[in-house]
Amino acid sequence: MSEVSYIQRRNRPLQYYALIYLAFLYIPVLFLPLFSFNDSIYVAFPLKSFTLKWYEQMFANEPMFAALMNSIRVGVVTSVIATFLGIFAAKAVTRYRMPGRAPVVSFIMLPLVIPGIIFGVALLILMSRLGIRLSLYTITLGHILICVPFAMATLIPRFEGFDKSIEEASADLGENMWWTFWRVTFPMVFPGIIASLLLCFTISFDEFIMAFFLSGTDPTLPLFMWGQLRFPAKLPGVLALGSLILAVSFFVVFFSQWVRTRGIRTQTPSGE
Amino acid sequence: MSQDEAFISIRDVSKSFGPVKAVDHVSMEIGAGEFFSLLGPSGCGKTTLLRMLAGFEAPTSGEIIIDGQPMSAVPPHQRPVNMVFQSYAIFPHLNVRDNIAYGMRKAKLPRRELDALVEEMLEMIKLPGYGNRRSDELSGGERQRIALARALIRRPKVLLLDEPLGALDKKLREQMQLELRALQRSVGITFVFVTHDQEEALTMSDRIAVMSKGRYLQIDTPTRLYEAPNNREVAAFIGSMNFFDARIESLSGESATVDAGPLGRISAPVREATFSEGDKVLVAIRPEKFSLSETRTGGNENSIEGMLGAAAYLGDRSHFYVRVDGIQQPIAVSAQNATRVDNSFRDQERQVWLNWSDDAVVLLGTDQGPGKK
Repeated sequence: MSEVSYIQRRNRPLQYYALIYLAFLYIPVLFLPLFSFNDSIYVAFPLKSFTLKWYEQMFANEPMFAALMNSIRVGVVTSVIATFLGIFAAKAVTRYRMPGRAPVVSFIMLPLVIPGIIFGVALLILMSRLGIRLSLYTITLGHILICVPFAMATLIPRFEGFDKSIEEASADLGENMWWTFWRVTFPMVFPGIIASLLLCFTISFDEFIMAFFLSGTDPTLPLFMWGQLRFPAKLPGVLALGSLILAVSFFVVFFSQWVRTRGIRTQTPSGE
Repeated sequence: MSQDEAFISIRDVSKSFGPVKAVDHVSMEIGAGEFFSLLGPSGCGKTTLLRMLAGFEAPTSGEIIIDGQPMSAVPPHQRPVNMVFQSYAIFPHLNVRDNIAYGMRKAKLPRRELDALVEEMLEMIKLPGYGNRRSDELSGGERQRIALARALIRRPKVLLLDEPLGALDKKLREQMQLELRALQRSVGITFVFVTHDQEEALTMSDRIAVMSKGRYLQIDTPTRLYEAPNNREVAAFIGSMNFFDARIESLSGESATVDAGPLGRISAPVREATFSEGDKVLVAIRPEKFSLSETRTGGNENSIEGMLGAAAYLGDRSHFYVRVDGIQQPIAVSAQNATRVDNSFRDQERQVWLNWSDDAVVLLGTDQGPGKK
């Protein structure tokens, strides 16, 4: 008899599978930083010598920084508004007895499965009909639409995770709805709010299709990068920027996971 | 309870959830400083009634008055009541001190005064020095006490308790019953206590409302509920009870002679003058009011011969079932185990005598007959 239990026993084929899977997933991505340090405008083997000039070039690229700032602005506004809407929607869905709850939820969640291109075209038609000039605002609006379902999906488990009587206890101890939200609900769902902000920002930051349809004269970063690809000389600069974004995304993902698990650990075992 | 003494007055209150009537035209009065229990099986409406007192549910009809004030327009956070939840609802993101001080924000006490008050509450619940503990470091019993302190620090006029001892183990529960009762006496606050545990209700309460299907069956002191239940459901729910069909033969003042079929002609005290001669009634006798003997005892006691059936030894007492000719259900008898080895009635299938005195008998109306109001 083996000393470890069935569930803990090692499984060789499964380990190989996991390794192959990770390699398949990440090796293409790792070409990005690799070629960003390569002293050649052609993205091809064999590698030439090591260089940092693409990074220098990137930092001197004014339009690219303008695009980066556009993306950050759109991302921040989108994540804040989508999370804000998500909080109240998630609270309503988990707390109140209301008729037609299930259809309402699936209706809110619909943008998750509608292809971005359909949404983009639909919004473009709507905007032009209404005579609204395309700008960063229209991109933000589109991004909010696709982010709200993600915000809700992140927040609903947090709301479901705590005992309804905790909010009742606050009311019982003399606090009205707003104070109860501020003193009890908000701190308890806070890790979910952070996770939602990060998620929405990331989605908005690399969203391309909606931005493509809804952009005016100011491009977001994905749009700018796509434009740069037409000029072979600019490609290594894009690779350098891509590598930087990759590094930042890695950090953000790890941070949000850390916040999330910390939140799970501090959540109480429910009363029973 | 006279009208002017009533501190909480529940007037014809109903609550429906869709087609389900959780509380059905209930009226009751609770006095100031009283330890009042709502007792009943789950689904009897006791928790709904409590939640209406707290303001978490609005009555479908009827009115609740606390300390002279109608409550219908008063939201939960403005009611002079506080609640101890079944799950305790300790705020998980706050430590013990902040949990207890939670309800004192509006009092705007200086920090030092508030700390002293919290420490005083911690002393009261016998958890001194617990202020800095995190909420996830607490045991069930500690959470229960902190929920209690958190409610009592606001000096409510009424404390509502929703099965607060249900999650504790038996030993701790018994200890908390006594502590809770002592605490209630010392603070003098009206307690409304919801439980499905009849022993718990009997131990702690001044009065108990036995509830079933959204209505109450009887409101009385523990002693009277046990000794003089006024209907079959109460008699069966509180403790256990043997029932026999009978008919009243004659009434004379405070006693009646009834023909109880196989039990013979017996006399019983009449506590309520709602019977008349010829009425069908139920004779009810508690298992512990019977005594067993090997031979017929003389004196004033009633006796009947039976056959000893199953016996169960429970440590402090034993349960016996005795079959009597002409009675379908075996009669339950409970006896204290006085001696260390009491084997006299261990053998089955032997003749025994069941004895009981007149005042052990409770007369109840049959479900359709008089006596049921």
